Parts: sequence; structure tokens; C-alpha cells
Amino acid sequence: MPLLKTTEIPLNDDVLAQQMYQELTQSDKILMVILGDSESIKKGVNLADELTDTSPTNENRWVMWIKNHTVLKPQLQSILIEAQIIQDGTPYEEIKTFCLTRPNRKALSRIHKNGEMDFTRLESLFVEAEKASI
Amino acid sequence: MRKRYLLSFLVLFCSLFLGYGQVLTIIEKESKRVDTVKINSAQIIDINSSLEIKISKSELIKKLRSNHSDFNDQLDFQERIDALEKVLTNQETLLKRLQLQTLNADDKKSFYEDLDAFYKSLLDPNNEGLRYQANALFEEWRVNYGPRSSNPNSGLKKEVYILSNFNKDLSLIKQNLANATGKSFKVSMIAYVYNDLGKNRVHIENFDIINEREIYSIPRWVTTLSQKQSKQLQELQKRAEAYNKEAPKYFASFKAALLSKLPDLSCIVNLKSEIQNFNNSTNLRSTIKTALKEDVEALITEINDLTSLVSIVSKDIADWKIDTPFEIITQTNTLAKSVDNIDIIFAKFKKTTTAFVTIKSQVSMLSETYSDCYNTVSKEINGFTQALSILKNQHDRFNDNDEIGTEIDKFTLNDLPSTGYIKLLRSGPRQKGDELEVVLVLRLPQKETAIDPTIQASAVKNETIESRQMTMQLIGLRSETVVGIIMADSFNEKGFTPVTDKRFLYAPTAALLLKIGSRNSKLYNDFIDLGFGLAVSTPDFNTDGTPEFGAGFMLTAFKDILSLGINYNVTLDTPYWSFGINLPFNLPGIPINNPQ
Repeated sequence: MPLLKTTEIPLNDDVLAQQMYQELTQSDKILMVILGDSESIKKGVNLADELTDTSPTNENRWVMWIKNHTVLKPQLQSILIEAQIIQDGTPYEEIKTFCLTRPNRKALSRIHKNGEMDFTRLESLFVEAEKASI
Repeated sequence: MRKRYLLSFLVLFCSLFLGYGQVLTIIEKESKRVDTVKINSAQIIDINSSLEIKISKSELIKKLRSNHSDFNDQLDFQERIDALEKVLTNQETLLKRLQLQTLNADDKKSFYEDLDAFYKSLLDPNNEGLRYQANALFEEWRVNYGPRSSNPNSGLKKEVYILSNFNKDLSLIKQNLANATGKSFKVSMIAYVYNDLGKNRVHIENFDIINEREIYSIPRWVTTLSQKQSKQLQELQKRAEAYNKEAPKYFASFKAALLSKLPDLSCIVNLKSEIQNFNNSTNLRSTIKTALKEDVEALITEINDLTSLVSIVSKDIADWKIDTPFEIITQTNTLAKSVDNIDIIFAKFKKTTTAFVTIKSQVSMLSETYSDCYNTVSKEINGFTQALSILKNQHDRFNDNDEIGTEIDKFTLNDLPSTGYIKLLRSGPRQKGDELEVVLVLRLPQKETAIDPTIQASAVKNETIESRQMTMQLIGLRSETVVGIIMADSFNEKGFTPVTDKRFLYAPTAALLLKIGSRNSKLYNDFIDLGFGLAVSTPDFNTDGTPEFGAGFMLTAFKDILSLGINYNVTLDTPYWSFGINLPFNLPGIPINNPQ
């Protein structure tokens, strides 16, 4: 199934990655960030991509997929620290998914490395970010 | 009382060691103060406060599961219903807003708050089953109606699909619960105020239809009794006395009525004589076979038993007090059984006599007499039984309000209100130190009583699920007046002639004291009970027979039994100190009064 509303961030071109990140974060999209490249994550990306078309109030949902925890780490980690998501001893590498509100970008909840990327969890992240974006 | 403390201890033990939480959470509201009454505290509440009693359905289900495995099916259904109802709390507004094409800013905010709460409740670890179900429903929707499905323009939103399917499930489970064949049960909540006179029911809003009683506020600032208050107090006292007299009278009149309804056994006594005559008849003796003789003897024995039984019942009713256990119903059942036995034996007797043609006419006469007598006695026993049922209901009313009648509502877990309210101000007369008990009761169907199937109270077996005892006090600062006797000793004795051989002189005193009611210590409230305030007394230091006027400060302890004061004799212009021991009993020859 092709990914229609997902941007894959390149892993070997920092400049381009930065540029894409800037474009995405400066847009008006509700942005779900997915980190990692395992099979379960790939399934989760597909599901999240499909959920982008199902916002109950037609919000512009989008998925940013970074297949490792190195690219864009400083930018994303600072958002997570600000949201107190990784202050409780959880390293950035153990975060799998979170959703950013519209600018100014804020993260609220996250799915931990061991957490399941099922419909309820992913949709809950989208809804939470949409709520905080009003 | 000891039993109730033991029960509280057991509840606490179970809570701590078996992992059960409290089913009842009691929140006290008094003025601006709102606080939870903790079970491991002294559980002292203000006597004029209001209570909010919350029932945790999940803890209730846990307790019921552990005590009644036969409820498991129903409890499973109930838990699923509760979980679904909790998840679907805001479904109406959600569905309404999902139908709209556009939402204004306020509606959108409310919509997202409800939707966020919906998903968060699905993520609750206790709702794992519902989360899986939501995932499965989304998958169905995605395949059949999703924007990337073969039917992308169905217009059916995933939220509507999930909510409507949850609703279908809820209806189905409710239906299953209604058709469940397991043992049925209901839950009630009752509250009592305990004092020296026994216990009284207290109205819990949402849980019973007991009328609230007169407003009775315990005054915090007592200085003296106004005329109006004194008059009111006297009237109240008269009413209380009249009521106290009326209650036993009512009971006594019923007792008298019941005694008058005792079966009249004169026909039975006559019948007995006729049978004995028949048995002793010299003409017939030779013809009566052993079998007939046995029947007659059995009949006479049974009649004798019946006569003695009536006599015992009569004595028991006469001796019966309102607070004695109810045993007369059992005796009455035996009475009815005895009459039935007589009927069986007489039928046998009649059958035996048919073999003897020579006594046919005598037996026929005897049979007619018996038949009339049997009908009369049976009718009277029925009347007696009915009167007894009425009296039993009266007995139940008076007997500690222990039986739960129709005035207490019964609920299934599904319709059990989550909160009950008690307004102590409207709970009638009570005193500092009285106890308030709140009991959550499991009501199980029981066999109907033999004596009267309409007596509902006996048709239900009650089992205490949880009970909470609280002591009512005037918490915080209050004032009290106290009068008593003090022993006064003057510091300097200028200007008057002291009694040379006595240091201390008795003097009556009256004091206005400030006291504090503790929320944490029963020992302080019930025993230490310090007071401090102004006191006036009338000593006679110069022993001229005219009391002087003294005023000062007084410190009291132990329910005003001990007092210590520093005073000034205004008349003689001399300071004095005093102490008082106002024991709560009188010793012969010692002018010590009880503190009042």
C-alpha cells in the first residue's frame, strides 16, 4: 500500500533532512512523528498514513517517518524534553511515536518502544494534538 | 457496640491484606470544609455536617466476586456494561456533532474534549477488551467504508461506526444480564444513628423513602437557655415522654387484642368430655376393640396437648416484651399443626367406628359435634394467626429497626446510584458522641415465612457488604455552660474575719466555658475534654450567712469533673483560688453536685 501522506526523512543527507523538517514543521499540518524501521513500525506507519484521511473534522494530518533515532535528534529531542516526555529517565531512543500540534509545535503523549502502534493509540495521538491545536 | 467495632476492624483487615479497596467513600461537608472521612482515622464527623457517600461499583463487584462465586456471570455482564457505559459517557454529544458539517470554535473544542476522553478511556488498562474491540471495529470500517476502501464515499465516519457498534453490544449485554439464570441480588444502603435509646433510621437521599426528620441543630455557642428555648425544650420533653409512653401502649393494646383472639377451646373441652363418656360407656366398652380405644386415647392426648399449647401461648403473649425475641410464631405454627393432627386422628376414629353398627348413631352425633368444633377452632386459629402477623410487623418496627422494609430502596448493580447524601441537620435529635452507621447491604431472596407470605422483610436475607461507623461531635470551638460546687481559698484575709479552722469553703459556681471538639481523638472528646472560661461564684468567706460575689477564670478537665479557678471576691475585695471535683455521682454527706 503506497504511503500517501507520509514524508520519509532521508537518513544520509542531513541538509535535506533539515530542510524537509523545516518545511513540515512550518506547515499547518498535524504532524505525527514515527521513529524506527522495524516490521511493526512499518505496519504502524501504514496505519498512521491511512488515519491521516480520517480526521473527524478534516484536519490536515501528516506523518513524518524517520527510520532511525539519529537524524533530527537534537530538534525532536528538545521538543520532547520541553513536553517533559523524556525527562523521567526515558531516553530519546526509547520513543517510537508522538504527535506534534500545529505551530508552535508541542508534543503531548508518546508511544514507547514497547508500545503497540494500533488504531486506538495512533488515533488518540492525532486527536490529542488536534484538540491542543484549536 | 463491640461487634460493630470488630466488623470495622475486619473490613480494614480485608482492605489492607486482601487487596480490596473501600466500596464506600464518605465525604464530609461542613461550612466551607470538604474532607474525606478516612477509615483508618478516628472517623469523627461534625454533628451538623452533611455527608456525601460514594459507592465504588468496581470495588463492590470485586467484593461480591470474592464472597459469592454464584454471581460471577452477572458480575461479568455488569462489568462489561459499566466499562461500555463509561466509555460511551459523552456519546450523545459526540454523535450529534459528528453529524454536523462544520463546527464553530466552541463546539469544536467541546467535541475534541469528548473525543479525546473517549480514546483515553479506551487506553485505560482496565478497558483492554474494549480497546481490542475498537481496533477490530476500525479494521472493519477501514475495509468496508474507509477512504481507501472500495466504498470510499459512504460518508460513514469511523467514530460513528465504532460508537454505534458499542451501543449494539451494550444493548445485547443488558439483555443477556436480564435473562441471566444466576442467583439474583439487590443492593441497599441504610444509615442509623445510635444513642442511649437505641438506634434510629436516618434518611439517605437516593437510597430510601424515609421522611427526613425535624431540623435539629446542635448549638455551637451556648450561653444560657432563653425563655423560648426553655418552653420549647419543655414541650419537646413532653412530646418525647408522650411518645415514649405511647409506643409501649400501642404494643400493649395489640397484645391485648391478640390475647382476645386466642382460640376458644370450650367446644374442644366439651368434645373431649363426650369422647371420654363415649369411651367410658359401660354398654359400649365390650364392643369397642383395641383399635378404637387407641384412637380415642390418641384423640384425647392431642386435645390435651392443644389445650396446654393455647395456655402456653397465652402466657407467652402476656409476658412478651417489645424487645424480646419473637418466638410466638413458632408456637402458633405448632398450634395449627395440632388442630390438623386432631382432624387426622378423628377421621381415623370415625373410620374405625363404622365397623360397629351398634354405636353408629352415637358416632354420628359425636362426628357432628366434632365437625362444628373443628370449623370454629380452625377459624379462630386463622384469625389469631392474622392478628399475630400484624403484631409481628409492629414488633419489627420497634425491634431496633433491624429488618429492612419497603421504605428502603433495592437496586441492581445497573441502577445503583453512585452517591447518597445524608443531611445530619435533618436527622432529628442527637447528641455529641452519638454514632452514625452507614451500611451497604446485599439483599438475597429467601424462602417466604410459613406464617405469612406477605411479610416482605422475612423474604429477603440481608448480608452486610460494608459498614462505616462515625462518631458525631461538635468539631472546633464551642461554648458550654456548667454549674457545680467549688472549694475556695482566699489569698489574703484582710477586711473580714476568716474561719480559722478551715482553709477551703464550699461555694456554688457557674461558668461559661470555651471548649474544642477534636476531629482526631475520641479520648480527648470523651474523656479529657478541657474547657476554659469565665466563672462566677458566691462564696461566703466572712461566714455572715450572706453570699459574696466572686468572678474569675476557670479551667476544667475530664468532662468538667475537675476544675481549677483563680477568682476575685468583689464584695470583700480579696482574690481567691478554687478547685472543684464534681464527680458524676453523689457521696452521702458530701455536698458535691454533678456538673450540669
